[in-house]
Amino acid sequence: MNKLLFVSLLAVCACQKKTEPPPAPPKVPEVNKISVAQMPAGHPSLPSLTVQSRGPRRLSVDQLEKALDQIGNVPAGTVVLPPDMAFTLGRPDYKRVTQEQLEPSPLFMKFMVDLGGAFCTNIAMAEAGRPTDQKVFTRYGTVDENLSYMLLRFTGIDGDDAAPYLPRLKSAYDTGAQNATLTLGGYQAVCMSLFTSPEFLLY
Amino acid sequence: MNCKHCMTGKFGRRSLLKAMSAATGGLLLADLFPRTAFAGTLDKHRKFVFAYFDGGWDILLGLDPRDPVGNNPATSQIDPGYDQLGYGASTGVQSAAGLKFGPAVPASFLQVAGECSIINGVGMDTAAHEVGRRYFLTGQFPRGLDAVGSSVGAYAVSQMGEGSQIPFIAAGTEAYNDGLPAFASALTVNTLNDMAIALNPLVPVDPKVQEAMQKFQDGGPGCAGWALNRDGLVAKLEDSIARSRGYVTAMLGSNFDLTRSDAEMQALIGLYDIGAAYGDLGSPEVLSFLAGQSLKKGISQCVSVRMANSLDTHSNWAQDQLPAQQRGWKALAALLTDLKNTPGAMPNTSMLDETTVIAFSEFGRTPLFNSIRGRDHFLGNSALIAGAGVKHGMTVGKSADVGMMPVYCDPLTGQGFDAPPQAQIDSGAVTMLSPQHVLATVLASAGIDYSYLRVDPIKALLP
Repeated sequence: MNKLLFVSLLAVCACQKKTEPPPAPPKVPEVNKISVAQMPAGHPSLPSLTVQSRGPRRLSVDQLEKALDQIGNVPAGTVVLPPDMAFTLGRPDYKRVTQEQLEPSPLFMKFMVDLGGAFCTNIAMAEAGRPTDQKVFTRYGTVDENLSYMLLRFTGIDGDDAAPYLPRLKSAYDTGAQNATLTLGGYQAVCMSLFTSPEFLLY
Repeated sequence: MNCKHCMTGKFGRRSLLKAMSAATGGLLLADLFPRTAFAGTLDKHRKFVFAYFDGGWDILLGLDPRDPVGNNPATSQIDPGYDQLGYGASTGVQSAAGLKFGPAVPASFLQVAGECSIINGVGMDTAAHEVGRRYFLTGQFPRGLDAVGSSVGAYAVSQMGEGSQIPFIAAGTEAYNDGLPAFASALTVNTLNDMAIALNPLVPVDPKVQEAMQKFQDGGPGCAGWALNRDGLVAKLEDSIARSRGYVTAMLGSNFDLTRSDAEMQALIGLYDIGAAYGDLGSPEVLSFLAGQSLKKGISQCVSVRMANSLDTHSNWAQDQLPAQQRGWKALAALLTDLKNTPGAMPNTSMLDETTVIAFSEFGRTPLFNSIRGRDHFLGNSALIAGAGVKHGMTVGKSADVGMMPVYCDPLTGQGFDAPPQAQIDSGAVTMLSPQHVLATVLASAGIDYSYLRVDPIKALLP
């Protein structure tokens, strides 16, 4: 009985604290919000279907392929992973595996490093032959502008939210650029850094 | 740059009082539940194999056979169906090392049967593949289809400590880590090719580019990244990056290179019958080989491996169930033989003396045929336990003589009872076996605390 009384007192004490204004939440992009898809013209809006939040997810293989098309500025459907590789990354074969595996596992991350290496090298090789408005690494005149553009292209992060990332990307650029044999080594380093970042791989 | 303020929290008077309330309440409530006694010496060198037979095996063909002679399916509600089996099947029940096996168990497995015991009459409480599979992997009944808690392999590894490069490998199976240390998370591979991808650098990357990328990765995500860290997803990704780097630098890939022409690899190719896989690097033969190499080379402490597939024979039972199950038992036999032939760390011991092996499926199949000569999902199940820390040559538990549903078992003796006295049921002297009992036995065999499973192990199987 004494034990129960003690617990009750503790619980009452815990509940009687004066209300204090909660600390201001850190400013982070509202990445978990999803808006309702656009309805056809004349259709009433359905705000009750708005999903305010959901758990973050890893890119699926399909999403990854489409994202790489977009980032690489190549026609949709250009990037297609071989079936074996796609299976490794989690795409079900509907024979042995019927659900897509979306864990950011060590195997997935190891393969993303490999894939990033190939993808970023290919972009670097194609860069010189592309018109300015189709370049991925060197679309703008300064390195800072190009890094901002790459960050936006990979992750959708722009404006004030991008500011903390830019010094780190510049550092990666400077390290990568130390290899004189690679014309775009600095940009390749930034490309691979973003390729394996949670900001790109999760959503 | 790391968004530390996103993750830090204050610990004040309110938090302290809440914690004290919870702790004191917990102490009070603890008296309401019976406690599971646990006393064991942790074997930090123990290894584990969880051999999963995918699809729901027919226990009549494997671990819980019935003699068809004199059997009347109309009264026993059991139809072994052995007469329908064609190629490669024996005529019925086989005996080896005091154990009985059905016709799907090949001769190669009978040769290692002396290292095994059988657990019959395991109740699954589900007939859904995902639920049964996750129940047996975690020892906790899933919530809907979602797994609850961690894989028992991950839990075992977390208790033993990080003693190898890749402590836990899941080959063709699911694996879960819920709140355990990161090293207990499995490297999940579907095929041997995945293993090669994980362990070998596929694309040469310029060292300076590599250095820059690693430096960026080591800086961690930014605020936008941490905002995605619900459910620990970002932390998992960060850990995965670090671990994948370690795999490559350890240069373990050659252990799994089937193209090697040296005598050791050629002998293994013969033992595991890799040729029967016809190039399928996710086949039972190849994944069994992967498990064996991982354990023997000290790469891993625990392997969860899909040892058979295509067992979900709602139709074409006679054509499909037997060869699929046979293939699984053959692959398991190769693994047990390989471990038995490999010297252990102590003199006059083998690797099998350091490894506990459990073979299971998500459920059994109905003892009677459906209208299309197949067998559907069944609540009753069996399991096989072998190797270190358990008695061999025993059959514990029982399925009913009519209808094959699991019946009560005395975990102290392993004896099954179709209709035990009510007093024994009330006192807990007899119990219905479940995956928890099986997995608690696996953990107890290595001195690992099994109390979170909330059941006692099958003590009849423990030395």
